[in-house]
Amino acid sequence: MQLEIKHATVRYSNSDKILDNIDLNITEGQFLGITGKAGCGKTTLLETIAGFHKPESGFVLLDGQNIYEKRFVSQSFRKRLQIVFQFPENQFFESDIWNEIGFGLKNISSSPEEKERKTIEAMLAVGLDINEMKNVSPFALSGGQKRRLALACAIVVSPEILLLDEPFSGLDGDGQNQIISILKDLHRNGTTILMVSHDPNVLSEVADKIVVLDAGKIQFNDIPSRVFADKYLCDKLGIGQPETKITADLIGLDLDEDLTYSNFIKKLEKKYLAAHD
Amino acid sequence: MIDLTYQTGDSILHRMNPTHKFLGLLICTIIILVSKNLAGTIIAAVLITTLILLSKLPIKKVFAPLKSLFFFLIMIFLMNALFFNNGDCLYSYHSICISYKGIEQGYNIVLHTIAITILSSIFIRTTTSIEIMRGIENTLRPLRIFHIPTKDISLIMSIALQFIPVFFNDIDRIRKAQIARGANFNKGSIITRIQSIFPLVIPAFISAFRRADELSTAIEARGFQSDYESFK
Amino acid sequence: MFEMPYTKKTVITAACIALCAVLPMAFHAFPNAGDIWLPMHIPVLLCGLICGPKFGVLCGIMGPFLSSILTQMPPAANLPSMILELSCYGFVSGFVITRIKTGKQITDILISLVCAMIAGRIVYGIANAAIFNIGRFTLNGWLVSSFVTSLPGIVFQMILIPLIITALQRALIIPDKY
Repeated sequence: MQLEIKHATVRYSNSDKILDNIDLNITEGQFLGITGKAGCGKTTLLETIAGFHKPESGFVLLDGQNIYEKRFVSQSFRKRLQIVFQFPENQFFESDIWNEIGFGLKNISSSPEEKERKTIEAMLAVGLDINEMKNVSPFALSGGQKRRLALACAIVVSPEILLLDEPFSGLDGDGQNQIISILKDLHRNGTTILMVSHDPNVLSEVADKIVVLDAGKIQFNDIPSRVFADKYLCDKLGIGQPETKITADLIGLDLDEDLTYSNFIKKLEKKYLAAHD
Repeated sequence: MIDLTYQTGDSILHRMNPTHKFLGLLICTIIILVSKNLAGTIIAAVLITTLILLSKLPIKKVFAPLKSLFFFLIMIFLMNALFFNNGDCLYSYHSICISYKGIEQGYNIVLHTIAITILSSIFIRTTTSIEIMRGIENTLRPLRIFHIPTKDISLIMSIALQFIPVFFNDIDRIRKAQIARGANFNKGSIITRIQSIFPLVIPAFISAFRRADELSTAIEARGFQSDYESFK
Repeated sequence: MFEMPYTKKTVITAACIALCAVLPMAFHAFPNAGDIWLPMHIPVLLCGLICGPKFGVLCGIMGPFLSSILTQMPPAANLPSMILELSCYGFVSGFVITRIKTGKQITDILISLVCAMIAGRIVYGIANAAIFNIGRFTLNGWLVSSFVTSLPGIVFQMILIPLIITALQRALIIPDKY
């Protein structure tokens, strides 16, 4: 699987360039974070990759093929790449969860048994209890459950590539953790993930690489520890730094290019033990 | 606030007080509706030409809405000219009856429709939506004598205006989300397209009502007092 | 009917009016959407059902008016008969649902919808025949445009509207009737 964006410039009618000559190569199985201050073009980038904005110049290529070649993006593309928009619970319309998830399967030619299996798998993957939840209306769910349901709707078709726009908006700590764990599972199973987020903590926790956008241009495309290395630069780009990095810098702790919490705790323990020997 | 039809400009009509403008629109409409035949055509022509000149609007824009009415107008004229039957036919064949009365009536209907469409086109293009709302609100104010809650009505209209761009964006977002899930709005059989309406319309209503719910709580918390209840 | 504070009904009516303007734009992708699917009828009927007859009438008047001002659809010439028809929908749907109590919400809704649709079309027919288009308006023409061309829209509304109301209740935005 090869996903490339080549020299893509995207502009809404009569406005400035939202994306300016973007070049991006996404490798299979990668977890790519996309961040930047408000208005820099993160959502537009995601939507362009997902087939919603034909670039005024440049290409979006999946396995070498231009996804915008024909007038409408192909259905086979949609099977391989799924996108979850911000506040995805706005898309619900079915009278029960089972059918809501099943909506995405309508265009997949498979047997009813296959569809049932996939729906059950999706519900399990996001932690929605099949027996309790099958006939519940999507509108009756809590905020966190709705978000997980929306995720299930996207992963039910087993996409190779999953795009997410601010998947944690409006969720409490628990809700956020649930989503993170689902995404980590998907990543472990080989799904390529592109996630827009403004939260440096989550990004440094899950992303292999982070792309930083500023005024439609890519400023950074690197591993989290290098992206968040310079406080001054992070402030200028409006992206902040993860707490692990800030704290580590404050107490003089070397995180060895790994900004995750677990590594931070490990290094902290080592330093504490070394100091008390 | 979207103003799909407002054309920025600096004419007398643009600067005119919206209440007067709205009342003027109503008066002109009535004048047009009572004028018929040749005299009517002259009155309408004079009125419209004056207004177009006063508004300094490009003529093409003013006449634009007539394009979509073209077929409709031809149909109406023919239906009257050919089928109006009150006994006085110049020429008749089965149910076809060509009469002076019929032609006259067809002509007048077409005349009125064209004139009113142009009038409203001029009005809309020289008045922003906020001004329209204010104009209507002031025009309705006298109805308070009949205990009609005009303040509530104008609040409803301003809220509706503010909601429009919000709902438009919501629906766009929903449309994209459903397309991503495989919905077909642009191609496929009629059946698939019909099935695709529900995933668009239902969420659109839910999100609209949710916003309405949140806004109503907010304005109540800020001390909203309804007109209606003050009449009781 | 649905017990809700006056403020909430006010804002919901405003939302329905806004939807009268926005929905037809969304339906542009479908050919002949306006006459067949009747997108502007839906918010008015919903407003009448949920908020009652007074608000329903307001929605029926302001909805097409606002839509005509902002999007020129319906064209100004059709406006009077459309306003008459839609305000009738708003009024009758609200009027019937407040008075009918079959015990099952769906039956109440469907009966109110049918009454509203018939009443509205009768008023539309009379208005056009008597006031707006004297002489050219025939019984056949009325029957065809009111019931035949718009049949998909009628069926669509009868299915869609109860679905929307149920979803709104599940989302706890409007209260249950019983």
